[in-house]
Amino acid sequence: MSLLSIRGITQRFGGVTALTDVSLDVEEGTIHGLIGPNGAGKTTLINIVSGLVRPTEGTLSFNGRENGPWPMAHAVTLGIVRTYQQTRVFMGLTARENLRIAHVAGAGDANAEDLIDALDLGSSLDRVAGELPYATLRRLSLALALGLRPKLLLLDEPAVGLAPDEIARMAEVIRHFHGQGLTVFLVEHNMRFLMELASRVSVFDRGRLLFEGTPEAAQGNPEVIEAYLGRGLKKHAGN
Amino acid sequence: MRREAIMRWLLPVIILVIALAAVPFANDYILYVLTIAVLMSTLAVSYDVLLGLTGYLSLAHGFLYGVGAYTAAYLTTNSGWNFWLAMLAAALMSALIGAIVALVAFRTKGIYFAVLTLGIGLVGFQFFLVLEPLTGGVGGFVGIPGIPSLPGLADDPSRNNLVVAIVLLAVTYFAALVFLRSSIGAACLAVREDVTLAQSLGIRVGTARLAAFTFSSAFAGAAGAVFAAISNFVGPDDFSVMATGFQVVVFVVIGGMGTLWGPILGAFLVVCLPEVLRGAATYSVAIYGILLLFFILFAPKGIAGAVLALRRLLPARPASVTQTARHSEAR
Repeated sequence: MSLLSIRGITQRFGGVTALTDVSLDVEEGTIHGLIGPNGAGKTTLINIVSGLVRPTEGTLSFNGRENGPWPMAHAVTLGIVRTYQQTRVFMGLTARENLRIAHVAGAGDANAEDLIDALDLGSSLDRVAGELPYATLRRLSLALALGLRPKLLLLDEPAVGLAPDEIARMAEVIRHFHGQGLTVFLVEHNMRFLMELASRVSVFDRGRLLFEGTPEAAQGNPEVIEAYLGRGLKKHAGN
Repeated sequence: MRREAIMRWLLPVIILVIALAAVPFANDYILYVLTIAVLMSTLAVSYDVLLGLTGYLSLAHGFLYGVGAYTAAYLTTNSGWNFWLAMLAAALMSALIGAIVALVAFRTKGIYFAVLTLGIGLVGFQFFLVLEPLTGGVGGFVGIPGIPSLPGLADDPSRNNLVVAIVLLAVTYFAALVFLRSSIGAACLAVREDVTLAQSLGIRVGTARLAAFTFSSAFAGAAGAVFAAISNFVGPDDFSVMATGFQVVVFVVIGGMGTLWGPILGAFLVVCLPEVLRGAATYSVAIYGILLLFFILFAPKGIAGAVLALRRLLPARPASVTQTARHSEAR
């Protein structure tokens, strides 16, 4: 059964059409990848699903509820939680205070100890977020989202700017919570990271859904190669 | 966190003990100045819940203080209410008016919020002037009964006033601490730091801000009731934007925003300094301005920030603790 159904979403910003009639389903218990070149509309879709932006047209259904999208605060109570491409935590507060806010904002039953262990934040708790290293901040921002006990987690490029060992750690964290029943909708530029994690991928190009299927099928699909993967390959071949 | 927690609890207790210890020795004049300082501290703590916790700069706080003062004055003088009941009613009235002000003002943010609340403060001042049957208009409200005597202080109204003011400060302070530690307090901090992130965590931003404003208004109202009973007279000038509305900002900024205990020190400094420097009474306004300049230029984190910085110069402690303290002072 699909946890999230996106139906006919179109988003225009003035004269620019960021998304054109996008429909896709995210199955419960999967890690669903979303790829596409810059400007393909991936973040716009995350913004719509999370309730930050209202779409021009189209609807969502989530976990048996119709008539979405919902405003952000409501979406969170339904179990849709997002992270941001830019690292976003409460910079002036300690990591502990950050987690307390997430704990208070969520149902209040989040297992804080498990979060702290899984994300390796134990040694950073009493430090002010603004003074933490970048990789720790990325993990803290993930902890804020996970602290809300989402059913569906929308991750907007969680691996951006991280070193290879940190990327591996991030993948491990996502698998850990996926193993506990979390469904993940993952936007990512790092192809290896995404292909390793995702069991399904949707490929976007210029605001349209180009392809949907397994990662292997995506890599073998001529249209996808032409529109996205292929450009890089041709360029390399030309060099 | 730990050091911050120590200061948060220890310092007010020390101040209370000293103030109470001084009660038997001081003369009426000193008692009066101390009472006003304690009352302004109450106002400052209530205001810090709004400015320090949520980051919204309101200039309507003096007006809400006035609403409490006039409410209590009217009820005790014209309706013959018991003072304690009237104080409760004053707190509720200020909370109600405060909630209405908040619903209007929180449609804006930043500088617009400050300007809008400035407008509300100015309009409120006009209301005090024109609603003559209720407020006594420009002539003020006269003949307000004093605070009823506590057991053992029947023959000494000055000491009685001070003790009542101290008790109100203590109640306000501990209520503010409880507020800060509550889930709504956490939500307010989130709003202050990053509204968009707070929203994406499902925090009800509107509710958190409204709660902080209403809480802050209620205790301002209670302080107003005590002020009216102590002075036996209230006039519009006591609650103008340039007097009280602006003064509370100074208390909190000089004391250290968001610490709750810092603003108590700020209020004491600003109220007591001109009295100590009585010979220089002519220059008291200038001293006031210089003080503000000094703090903004050299100690932007206020007295609280300076105190914590001095303590940090003493033997080393775990880095994490100092950093937390410093940063929470910064806000």
